[in-house]
Amino acid sequence: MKCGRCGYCLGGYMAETCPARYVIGFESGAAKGRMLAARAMIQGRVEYSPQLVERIYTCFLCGACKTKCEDAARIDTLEIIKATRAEVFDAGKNIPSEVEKLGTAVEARHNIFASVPERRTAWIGPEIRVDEKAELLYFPGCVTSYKFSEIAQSTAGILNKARVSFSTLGASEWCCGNPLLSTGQYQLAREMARHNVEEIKRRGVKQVLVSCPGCYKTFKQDYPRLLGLSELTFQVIHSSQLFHRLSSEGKIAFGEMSKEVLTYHDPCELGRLSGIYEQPRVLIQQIPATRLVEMDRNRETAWCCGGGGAVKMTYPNQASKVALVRLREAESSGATAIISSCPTCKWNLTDNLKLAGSKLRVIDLSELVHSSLK
Amino acid sequence: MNSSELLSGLAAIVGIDNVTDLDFDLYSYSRDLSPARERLASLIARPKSSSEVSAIMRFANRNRLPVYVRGAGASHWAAWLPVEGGLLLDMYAMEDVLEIDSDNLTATVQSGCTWYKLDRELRKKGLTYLSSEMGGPAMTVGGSIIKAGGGPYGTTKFGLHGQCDVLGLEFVLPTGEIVRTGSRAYFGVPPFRRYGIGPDLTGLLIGSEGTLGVLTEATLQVRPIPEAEEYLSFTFDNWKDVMEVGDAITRPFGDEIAYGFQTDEESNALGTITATAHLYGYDKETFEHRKKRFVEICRKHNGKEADASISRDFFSRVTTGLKDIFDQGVWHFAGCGMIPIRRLPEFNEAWREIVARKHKFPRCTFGAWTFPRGWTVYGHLRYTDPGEHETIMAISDELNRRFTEMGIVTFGIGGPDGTLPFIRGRLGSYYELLRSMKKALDPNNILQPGILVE
Repeated sequence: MKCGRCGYCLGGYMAETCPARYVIGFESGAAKGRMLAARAMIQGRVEYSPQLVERIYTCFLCGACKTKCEDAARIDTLEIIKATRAEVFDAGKNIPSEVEKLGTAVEARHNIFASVPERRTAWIGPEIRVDEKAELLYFPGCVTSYKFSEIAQSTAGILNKARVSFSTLGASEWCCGNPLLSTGQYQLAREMARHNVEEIKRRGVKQVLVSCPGCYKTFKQDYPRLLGLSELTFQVIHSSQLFHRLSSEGKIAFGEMSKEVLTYHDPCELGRLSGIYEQPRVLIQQIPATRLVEMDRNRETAWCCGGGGAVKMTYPNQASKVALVRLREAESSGATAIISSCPTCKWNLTDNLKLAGSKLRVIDLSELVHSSLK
Repeated sequence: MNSSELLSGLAAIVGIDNVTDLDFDLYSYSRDLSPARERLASLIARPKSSSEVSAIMRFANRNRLPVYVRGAGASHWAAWLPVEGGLLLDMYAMEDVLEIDSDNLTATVQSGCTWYKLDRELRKKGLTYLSSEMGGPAMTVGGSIIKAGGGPYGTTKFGLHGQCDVLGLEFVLPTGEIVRTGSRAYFGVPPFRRYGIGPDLTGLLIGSEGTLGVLTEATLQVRPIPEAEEYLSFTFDNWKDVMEVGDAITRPFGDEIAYGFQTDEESNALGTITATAHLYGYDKETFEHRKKRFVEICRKHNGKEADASISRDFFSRVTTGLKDIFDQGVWHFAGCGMIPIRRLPEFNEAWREIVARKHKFPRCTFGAWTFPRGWTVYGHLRYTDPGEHETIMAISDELNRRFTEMGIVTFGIGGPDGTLPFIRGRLGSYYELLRSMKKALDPNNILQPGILVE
């Protein structure tokens, strides 16, 4: 490891760059301290106590430190943090109960909510046209399918409107594996990856559309590595990219909306970790009567919603603290609604509106686009 | 008191979430940016206010608990690594910009504020610090002041910002009293003036390495963003020419042109000296005249103009963080400090003799930047294999010993893993006075014991 302990990962605003440092306070919350603690773990000098395990699992994997380190030592801090989680998980000591529940749920039912697999397609109503076979396959992911069906319905509505044929894996869709990778459960994540890739290949799909940035990053960046492939046989596209393309090609157009000031929240795994910043903004600006305002921290400096790194499930109180900061920042921007392109961002921000005493609305980009179509 | 009683006592001051004695927390604070060996505190606390710092110091005195103080932890001379266990104060929670006074051109910050943050906040108001430190986003204002710091921005008009721009401080004495210095000491008077009542107590803290008080707030002189600026790069064949340029450009004290002038040489490319300059000024016509003069000085001393983007990249990243710094390995600083203006070639020759010729160490840089009538020089050794650590320690010790004998004024002294072993015994009556003052202010020797003063 070539960490020089320069501290660039702290980002200059020491309490305002790393959300884990913000909620934990001590340096073991931030990348620099995590590197030194990881070294002590490798050397067998620290006990795998409940406190250490909690610290290790209280990282939002937002990538702010990784982005900063790209200018210095170019350490993939996230991979090291995830490796410490895998080490703890494999050691089997003091694993957070929610992490174990997550693994059990995915293993038994192939989704993170332990819901019945058949419910995965409950979002497909009679008004939605899904084809049996198509070059494009829509993979909504667990949070969209089970918790925010309106995101999947809006996405399908846009595709139907643009006359883009698509299919789904139906109940054969399994968790993409992202929450498993985030919690150190690599073996199970590999099983999910293998199943999903085989199902997709079997259908001769050319392109997979995802609503969730976690799914997007996992398919694009983790699947090849997990499965030992140089590349996947199909392309992966995020819904914000596809909507942008459909708009550019004139396949969708926007009607008149009531005036509204909107701000865009960059999901960490779509922005910092995948480099997609502009397409969502371009789309929002194309909608008549809406005005886009930026929060102080946007694009690569955007503050996490608090839902990342599986913290939403393992330590929801910590996730709330981070969400409250983001909601206050959104309020300060003058917006009346936050647009995001991630179901988990919507989940965590919405859950904390009441706690923040905020009247903001949290809307997924797919919902905004769908409701604005001519 | 046993350790759990100490933990409870501190928790009563800062809150249970702001104190820890957990093993992994202690390891995460065990190293700085120097080759110094890992050292562990027994407890770590994060105060959020001067009053909490005050209460901690009183508690520490009652319990004879050693206290070490750390900003962002980027010291490169073991300035805060605990010599004898004890309590480590992490000052990061005190990072606010408290006030920017556009009339008096001052900024008051908490000591844990970074230069990066300060400069960003100033620029929103059309002001700047013209940041002198090059510690990137991890160098705190407090850390710079306690080491009397400077950086690659020397100016003939202002001097070293980490020293000369400090207008007043707030600090907590080892016995817990909160003290304010400069015009701030008068109630209701803005902190616009450092001198006024009695001796310069601000100066007492600057360079004290945290041994005489815990720095909690600082007021600094700031200035408008310059209207004119330009980046220039030159190469030189020898350090005598570089020294002559430094001599010529720092001779006109009070000149309104300001500049950053930094130069370095790699051990694996001896004889190639790159110099980068950032010129700036407040009047375009005067700026152009002085830029012309600067270029003439460089040419006169055999400087060859090089790609200006090298300079632009360097200076534009001084506060945001230098790029690719660890590509050749992790940096360990050695032989760092300040020397008189005409002695640069001697120090370079000593560096060459030890690093390049004797140890033939392949990845090392010798560099310098100007301040009025002087240079700050630095060396960094880069290791790629942990096995090289012993070699680096040996070279580092040799460089520090030689440079001390030659008369360098080190940036900081630190403890037994810093430059203290080379400096003790050389400071004479000055050191005795310092020890007496330390004893008067810190009768139980609890603040930074073993650092600077033994």
